[in-house]
Amino acid sequence: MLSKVYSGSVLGIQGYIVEVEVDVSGGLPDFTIVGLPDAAIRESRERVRAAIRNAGWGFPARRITVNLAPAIIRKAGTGFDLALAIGILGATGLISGPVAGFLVVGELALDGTVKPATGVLCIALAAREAGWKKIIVPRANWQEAAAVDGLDVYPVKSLREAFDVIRGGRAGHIIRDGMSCKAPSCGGFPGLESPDTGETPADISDVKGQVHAKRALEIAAAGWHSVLLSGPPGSGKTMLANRLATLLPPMTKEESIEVTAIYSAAGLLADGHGLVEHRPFRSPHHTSSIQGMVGGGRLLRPGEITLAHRGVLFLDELPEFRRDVLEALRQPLESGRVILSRAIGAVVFPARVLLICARNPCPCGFLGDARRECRCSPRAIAAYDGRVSGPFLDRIDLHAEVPGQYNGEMTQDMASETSGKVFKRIMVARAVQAERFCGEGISFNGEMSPSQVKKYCHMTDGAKSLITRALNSLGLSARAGARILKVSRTIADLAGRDVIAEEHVAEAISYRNPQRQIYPP
Amino acid sequence: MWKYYVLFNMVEGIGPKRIEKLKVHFGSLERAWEAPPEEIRAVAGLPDTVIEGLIRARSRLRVDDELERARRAGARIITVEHEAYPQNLRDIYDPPPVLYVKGDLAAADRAACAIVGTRRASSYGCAVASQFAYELAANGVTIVSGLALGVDSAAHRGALKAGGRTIAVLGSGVDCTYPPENSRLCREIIESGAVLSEFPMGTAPLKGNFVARNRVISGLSVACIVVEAPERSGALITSYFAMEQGRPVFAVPGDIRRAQSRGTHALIKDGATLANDVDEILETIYAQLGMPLMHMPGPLRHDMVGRDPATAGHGPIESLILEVLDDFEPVSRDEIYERAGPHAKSGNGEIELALLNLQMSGAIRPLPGGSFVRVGS
Amino acid sequence: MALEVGARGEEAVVAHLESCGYKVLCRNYRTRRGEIDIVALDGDTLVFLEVKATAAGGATDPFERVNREKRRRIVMAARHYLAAMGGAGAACRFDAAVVQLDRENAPQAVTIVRDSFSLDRMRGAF
Repeated sequence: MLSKVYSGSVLGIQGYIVEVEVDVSGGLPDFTIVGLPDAAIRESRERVRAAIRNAGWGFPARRITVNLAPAIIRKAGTGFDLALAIGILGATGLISGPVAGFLVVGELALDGTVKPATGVLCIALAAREAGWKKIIVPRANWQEAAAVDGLDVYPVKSLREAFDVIRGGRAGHIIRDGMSCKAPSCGGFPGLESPDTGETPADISDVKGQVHAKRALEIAAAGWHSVLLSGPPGSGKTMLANRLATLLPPMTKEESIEVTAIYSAAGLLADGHGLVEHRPFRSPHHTSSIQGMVGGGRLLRPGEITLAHRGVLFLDELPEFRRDVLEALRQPLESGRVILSRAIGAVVFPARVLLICARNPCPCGFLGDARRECRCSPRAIAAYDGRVSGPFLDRIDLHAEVPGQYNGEMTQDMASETSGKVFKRIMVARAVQAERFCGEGISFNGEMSPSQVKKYCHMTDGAKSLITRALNSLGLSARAGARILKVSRTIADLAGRDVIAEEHVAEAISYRNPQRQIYPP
Repeated sequence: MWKYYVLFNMVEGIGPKRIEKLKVHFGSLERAWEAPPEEIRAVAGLPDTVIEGLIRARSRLRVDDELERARRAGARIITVEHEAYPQNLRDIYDPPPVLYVKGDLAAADRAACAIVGTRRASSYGCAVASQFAYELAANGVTIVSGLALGVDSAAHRGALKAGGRTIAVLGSGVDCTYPPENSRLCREIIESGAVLSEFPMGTAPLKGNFVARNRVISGLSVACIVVEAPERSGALITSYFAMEQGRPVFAVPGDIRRAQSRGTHALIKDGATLANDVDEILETIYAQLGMPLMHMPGPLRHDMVGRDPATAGHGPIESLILEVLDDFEPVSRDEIYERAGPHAKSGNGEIELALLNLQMSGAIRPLPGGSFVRVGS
Repeated sequence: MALEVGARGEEAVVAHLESCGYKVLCRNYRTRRGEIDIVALDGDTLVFLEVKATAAGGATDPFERVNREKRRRIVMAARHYLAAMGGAGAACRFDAAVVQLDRENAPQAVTIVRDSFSLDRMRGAF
């Protein structure tokens, strides 16, 4: 007998529907899976066999052939187990009604319990797209699936439960549009909102002094500009970077779903967790490989830049990163996505990150420090600068110095603005940008193309002449000039001004004017 | 026969003293160059490798080639036999027999003062070097230094800014500028003085050359000022040469916590004059030249500390910033914000605008670490 | 001796199978490439049985002796049987029978292990 069950899998972060055909026939007992399964799927035979037996059915001593369609995609992972088991039960006549109508996702344990699967949200999104109405998911993943509107979600914790749901027996719980439709009979479902961690949130006012660097974060958060913090060890670079997230508005539901889909596909979502609500903050170690940063590999895993999508990517100790890794990041940073070419076509990962980098100013870390003495030769400093390519540094909008703090009393007394207060200005600037870029396909000043820069960066005559003079006398490149204009636009937006004035340009230039030598040649 | 100096100067292992020795042995350098190999082998006190090198070099080297090379690089060759050879240098124990000169040497270069110091200078060191150079050059003194980064560059620039003369002595051939970062400075010096070297065209900036170069820096000068020198630095070596050559040595005191001050403080302990007053240095220079103080050209400037910043032509915030800033000690941006903030109506952007304008006009200089220093003079 | 013990064990198994409703079709089916101890019919399902006797106090698990090579030979013989009998589409099963012997090598108890293996667990054996 032949039965068909539908399941899903993930390619990159894109879910797709997989048709699981099961044929049970006479002949010497056998169990084969065709349709480009990977090793994990071939091993699922043993899990399915044991799960069916341990759930109380006999495993048919028949010739079982499973076909996974579409056959062109190499399927990976363990999420087909449940569909396979249901298919076998169907093909042996145990399920009489139509199995179709349900999308079935889940991994099986040997005892028949259903274990969480990766990519449930991605599959649920694909299911809705393809017009499915009902999805059976592992209980641990129900919140992911429930985030997709218009799908009835049937969380199951065992093969038996899934069997009952399909047979139309005891249906357990159904979650429709994020709401539980039936009162939970055994154990409650946790609420849809993520649990409060109870920690005091980090605040930008935790960092004393560093007015210039903090302002850089404000501009970055308002206009989605990348930042480089340079300063001696212990000056607070990491602390500042960590607080950049506090200046960003919470994610919209769409953004939240995008981010959750990435984490779901990567298998990084904690069990029982629904939508990711906080913007990601990724801080990969400087030994990371290209694959780790950009993504790829046989399993097409998303890289750090994709895991930081809609959030912050923090590269601490920037010059320690491998040069080829940074070069590989350049294109995705510019375009906001990673494209990996595969035999079946290109896989696209989103990668719209707010980049923040930190570095010591020189190998010893104390160039320009007020107290400690720099022991690096000018040549060593030049070599250190050379570790990060010019084009990479050029693409960073805001270069801020984070000097060591020594006059402790003065800075302790200085009233620091709280994240909340800065945040208000940022929201105003963001609202202005949202209106400006309506229909332009971008959301922020930092994303403007050269023609958009021309269109939206109106300057006073004074500002125009200032930028020309400054580019000449400071020896800045034309590309730097364009970056300065974008940053000036954001500064003017923060000040609530329509036309960019001289002081906005001057402030933008102050973030492109780092001094590397005490006495310039 | 000055061309033979050029030839001998190009032979590896033969320096001023051996040239002198050969000249004495053969009666003239021409005869030494033309002498049969066995006669050269008979010269006592020369290592065999040098003798064989010399014999081989004699058949290979042609003076016209070197002259052509120098001419194409825009350099003149001056030997001890020339009238134009610097008088100060002629007086030392082992004057370089040949100088390759780009630019011009002038009679006024008798009144020359060396300013040397570490490449890893602090902003204070650079400011002091620049300021001393400026004041001395404005009073007609030629500033001699080594074109290195840090203090040397600051000294050359100070002299150029005053419209005075300055000489850079290289540790490589004059056709290769070292360090490369200073190629622009090098061109400016050629226009207002000279860049010179005792090494033949094409000589690479080898480590060993710099010690020899240092004796030329002190030798060209009648006094030597050391600004920031850590222990065992090239600047200290220059000061030792200066003492040997009978030139008075001045040392600029610095922060006692910094390694850059150790060498200069040691010099002061050993009897060098503490340099804090341009007048005193000028007096010493003119005393060295045997000229009375009243003959000094140009007006005398007074000491450099406590002068009011030139506030003319600046807006209120700019003037305020100039008051807050110091000629030597870097002031952090946070402090500038703190002090100028209450006067800036439209926030820190206005302060940044003032800082940028001041920087572009050359009144202040940004430093690594986001601090600023006022540019003196 | 050993042969005799084996035969006695097989007798016991056949008796047990028949008592369980199996219909024994053939014993000691031998081909050049393999052999099957017993072929029986369990309802519609054709069952290929391998008999293993285990001595009293014998330390080894009888299943350990049904190794990969032995299984391969059973499968080859089963294919031969199906081809010869024209039953290629029939439902089939591989069972194992374990005969417990006492001190006099007399069969004491018989255990049938249903569906003891299937082809997918021995990929590469053919």
